[in-house]
Amino acid sequence: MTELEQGANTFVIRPNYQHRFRVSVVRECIREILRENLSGVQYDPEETQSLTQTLAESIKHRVKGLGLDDRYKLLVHVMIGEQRGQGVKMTSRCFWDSDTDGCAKEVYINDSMVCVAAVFGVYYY
Amino acid sequence: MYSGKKITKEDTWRPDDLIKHIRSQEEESSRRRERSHRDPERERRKQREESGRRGGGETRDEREKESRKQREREPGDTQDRGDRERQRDRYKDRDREKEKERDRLRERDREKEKERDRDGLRERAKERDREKEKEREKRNREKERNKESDREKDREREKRDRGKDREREKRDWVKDREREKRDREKDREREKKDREKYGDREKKDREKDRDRLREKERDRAREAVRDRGEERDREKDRERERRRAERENERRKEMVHLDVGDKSLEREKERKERHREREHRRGGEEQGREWREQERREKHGHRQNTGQTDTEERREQKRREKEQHVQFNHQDRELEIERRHRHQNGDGAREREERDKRREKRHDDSSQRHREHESVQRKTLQEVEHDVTEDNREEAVDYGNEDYEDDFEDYEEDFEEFDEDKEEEGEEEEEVHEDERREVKRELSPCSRREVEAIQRAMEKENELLSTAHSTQESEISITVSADSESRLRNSRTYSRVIDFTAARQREINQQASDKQRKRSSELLRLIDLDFSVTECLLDLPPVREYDLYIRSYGMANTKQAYVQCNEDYMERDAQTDETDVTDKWTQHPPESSTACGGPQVSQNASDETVTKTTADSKQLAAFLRSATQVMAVLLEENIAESNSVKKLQSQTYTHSFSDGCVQLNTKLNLLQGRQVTLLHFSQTQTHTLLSVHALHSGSIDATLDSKTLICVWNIWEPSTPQRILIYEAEVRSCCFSPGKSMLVFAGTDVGSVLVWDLREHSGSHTHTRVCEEEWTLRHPTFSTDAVLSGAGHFSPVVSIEPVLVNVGAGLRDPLLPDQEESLGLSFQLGSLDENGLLNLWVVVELPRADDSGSQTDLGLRPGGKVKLLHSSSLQTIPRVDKGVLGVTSHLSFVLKFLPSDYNHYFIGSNLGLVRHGTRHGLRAVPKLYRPKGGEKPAEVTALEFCPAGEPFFLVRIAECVGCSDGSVRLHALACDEAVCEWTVGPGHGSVQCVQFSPTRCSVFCALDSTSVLHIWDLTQRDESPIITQDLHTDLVSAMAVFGDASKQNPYSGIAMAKHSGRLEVHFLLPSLTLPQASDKEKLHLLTRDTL
Repeated sequence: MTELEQGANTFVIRPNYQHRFRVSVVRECIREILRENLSGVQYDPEETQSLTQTLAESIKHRVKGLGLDDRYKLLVHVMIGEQRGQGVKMTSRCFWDSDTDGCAKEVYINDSMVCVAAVFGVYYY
Repeated sequence: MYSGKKITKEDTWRPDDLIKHIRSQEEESSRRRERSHRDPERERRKQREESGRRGGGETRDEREKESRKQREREPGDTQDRGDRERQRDRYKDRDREKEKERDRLRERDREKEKERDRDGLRERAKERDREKEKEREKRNREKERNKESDREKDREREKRDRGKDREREKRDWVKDREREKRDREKDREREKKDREKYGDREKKDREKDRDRLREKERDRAREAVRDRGEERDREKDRERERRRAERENERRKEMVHLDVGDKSLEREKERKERHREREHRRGGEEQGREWREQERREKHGHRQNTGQTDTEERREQKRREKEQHVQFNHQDRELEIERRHRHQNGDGAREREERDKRREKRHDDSSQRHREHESVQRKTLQEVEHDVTEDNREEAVDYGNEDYEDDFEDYEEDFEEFDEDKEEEGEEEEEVHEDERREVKRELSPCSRREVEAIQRAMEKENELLSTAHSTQESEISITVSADSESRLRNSRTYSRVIDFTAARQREINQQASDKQRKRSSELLRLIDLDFSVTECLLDLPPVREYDLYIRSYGMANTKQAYVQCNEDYMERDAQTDETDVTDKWTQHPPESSTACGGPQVSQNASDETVTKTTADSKQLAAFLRSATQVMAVLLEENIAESNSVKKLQSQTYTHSFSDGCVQLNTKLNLLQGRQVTLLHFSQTQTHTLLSVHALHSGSIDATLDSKTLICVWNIWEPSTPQRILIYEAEVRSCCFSPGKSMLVFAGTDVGSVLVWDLREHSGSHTHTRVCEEEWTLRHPTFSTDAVLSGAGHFSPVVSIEPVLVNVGAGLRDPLLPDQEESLGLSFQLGSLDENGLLNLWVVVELPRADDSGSQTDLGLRPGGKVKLLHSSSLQTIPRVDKGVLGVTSHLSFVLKFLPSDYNHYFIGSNLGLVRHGTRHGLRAVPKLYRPKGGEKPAEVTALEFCPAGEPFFLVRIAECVGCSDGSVRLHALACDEAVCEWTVGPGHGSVQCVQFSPTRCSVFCALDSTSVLHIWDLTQRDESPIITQDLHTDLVSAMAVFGDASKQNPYSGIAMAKHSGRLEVHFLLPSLTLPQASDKEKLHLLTRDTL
């Protein structure tokens, strides 16, 4: 609101280059976290809920620590599914400003589970 | 006026109560709905019956009139409405005046129309017309019904509007009073007693009413005469025309608000009509209550006033009872109670009865009312208009709080929605329903359940909204509810005002915020491009196929690991670590008989193949054979030599005291028979290669070869046959090999020509001569200076010929070292000396390409030859002065040698026992002459030899004195012209033909005298006389040459001797004479010092 009251034509519609949402960096983060947390873990339907939450939280914290622009709104989406040979297809579609916003996703697969973590960074004008 | 009853929350519907209520009602309503579908028709039937009872024609007339009036009223009302909306600021009076004018005009129009109608009726006597018009009628009726349904909606809206007005009134104290006045006025209207109070206006109205009554009476009279159909036609025409006229009036009055005005006027008029109807129905006080009551509530009350509505309602009713006529209310209440009973019991029959009763009552009322109606109509219209204008004024007085209006608009929308909901049935049906409903409602409101029900639904919605929505809305509703009482009004005002402010503020803030947000978004959207991202596939996990699953679980069930492939890098090569097969094979080269290779398993075919293979590779075989033949030839020669030497040479070796062994070269060839060897020469680098010059011989076997000299190139290890046989027409006086590899043979002839043989030339290019059934290849010289270079050549016999190496560096190197020799290649010159002392220097040139057709410029070059000599320089070595002084004998040169360490220095032995020393480039050489100790003697220097082992100090010279038959050997040092030592070989032994150092020991040298006595000196042993003197007089020696290899591994040296008999013997010296000793050089140096 304060931004608004300063008047017109003072919009910050692009983040600084260094503070952009860089997909590769974020993906690396996600990959690390998934590998740390999921290596050797067997699928357990009871623990999955808490596991997804902790994963999402840790991913969020890690990504926040990357020094993104403060105006980025982060949406962390973590899905864990059991791996039993079934076919799964997940897609996402966004209506956004592709200059600023981005989506980083990483898939972790082991013998018993599939984990998909996606981070959407949406710039808040 | 009203009791100061405080408004509470109970006044409004509590959401929970409402829900309960609605649930209980829903079943009923559903039932009722069904009924209501049926009802209108039934009611209409009943109506008709009733009206029939009352008097057939009249009811019909009445109904028609009603509809007509309605229609008539519509335009005016809408106009009024338009006035209210658009021209709020107009003064009431003006409006009223206008209204009056309008009414007057309408009256006039109507009268005119009637007249016209009368005329038209006369014309329209024919039935045809009538039928047509009936059809038209029907259509018109339908249209009217449509219009009426619209009007119905409008009416509802108007009610709401009225509600708004009321709200405003609540706020304004004065307005309340006014409203009460109005109520009173209406009461009076109804009673037709108080009309006079309103003065002129009222009177006018009354007049109009009277007029209209009169008109209607007239109409009725006319109707009696005519058919009903005609009546209807007429009426409709009239109506139409009337409407037209009205519209014209309106246009005239308000040019601007024409279009909108119509609708609004309609609505307004309808509203007024409804007011009146209600008044008629309920009898004044009922109407007043309704007028004040909130519209929904009111309807609810109609339907089931005492049902589940709270006691509040009843209390209000009671209040009203006090104020107004009680009996009506009681009646109503009774009805309501009955209805409730009916609802509870669900007894359809009773219901119907009751309803019928009610209808009857209503119809009684309505019959009265209908009569009143016409007279009242105008007045009420004006009154309502008045009200409206008052309302307008009120609105003007109002603070223009638009929030409230907005809210009411919301309500309106709700009602519209409700209307839409109602339109579940087909339009036609609904039109009919609504038409009927309107009538029913007009006549008996309790029966119009549908409408009530709809209103209830709307209420329900509103209450839902209330329960969820902001508190402000609640307060607003409370306001609407508490519209009737002053105290309530007051309370609600205070209450609502407090909340209104906060709410308004809130609202304003929200509004501002949203506005800003909207503005921001609109501005930003211009800058930003939003787009749909490409549909990103987050996870695409294909299902595991059954086969894969099977293979994963059972695929490895019956497998067993048999081998491990360890050479993993060689995946593409299919390398397996099988055991290697081992078979034995043999091979032979060159192949023996037909098989070159074989083994235990190899079949004959395989060996054949290998044979063919080996023969196929002829080039390689040829190369191999060439190298192998030399070895094989040597071996074969040795075999032969051994077999011979066992008998002969062994005995001979014993005969020579110096000899360690002997090889006899086979000179018993047909070619060489009868020829004497005049010259022997060993190659300095290839010490096993020997040149033997066979002199002319007369009476040989082949006459063609008589006048020709043969030169044989021997390899002493292959004594059986000479390697090459060279041929030349003249006598060869001197010969030598090229330095380095012995590829070239140079020769100087008696006729003064210098010859070159290239030994590399292929034998095929030379003539083959068959001598005594043996074929020989005789090589003519490659290049000859005969007659070609006559100007620059020799004119006297060439006595000596020597290669002149290009001197490299400081000359300290041993020129005889093979590596250096080889490196020189063909880059050397050739020095040739004739008897007259002319020294010619030749450059040896190797042509890059042989020309088989011969050269046109180089006439001395043999066709196909590649080596030629170019004359470089000439040097006269014999000084003329000496010639003149001595005068005894002419100076003759016999031997030429170049200093090995410096090829610029040459030494020439002359016939005076002197050795001349000079340089090629004319530099002075010191000493110029080397003399014997005893002074000059007439002695020919026949041989001159340098010390081989790189001792440049020493020069050994052997001279033979021809005249005095005194042979002597002298040893000279380079630096000294006098001889160091001088040995006289025995007088009886003739002249020394040859003297030569041993190539391996510099202190050993041997000399041969003319009497074929060989003297061998070893200076380290004895320096005054030779240690060995061997008399070879049994077969005179014609030529002798010493050879030796100084290589350290196997040093050997020997003497080749050619005998008069033609035998050519190679004797190897004893090891004592061959093996180099440390004291050799010291001894030479000592001797030199002694002499100096």
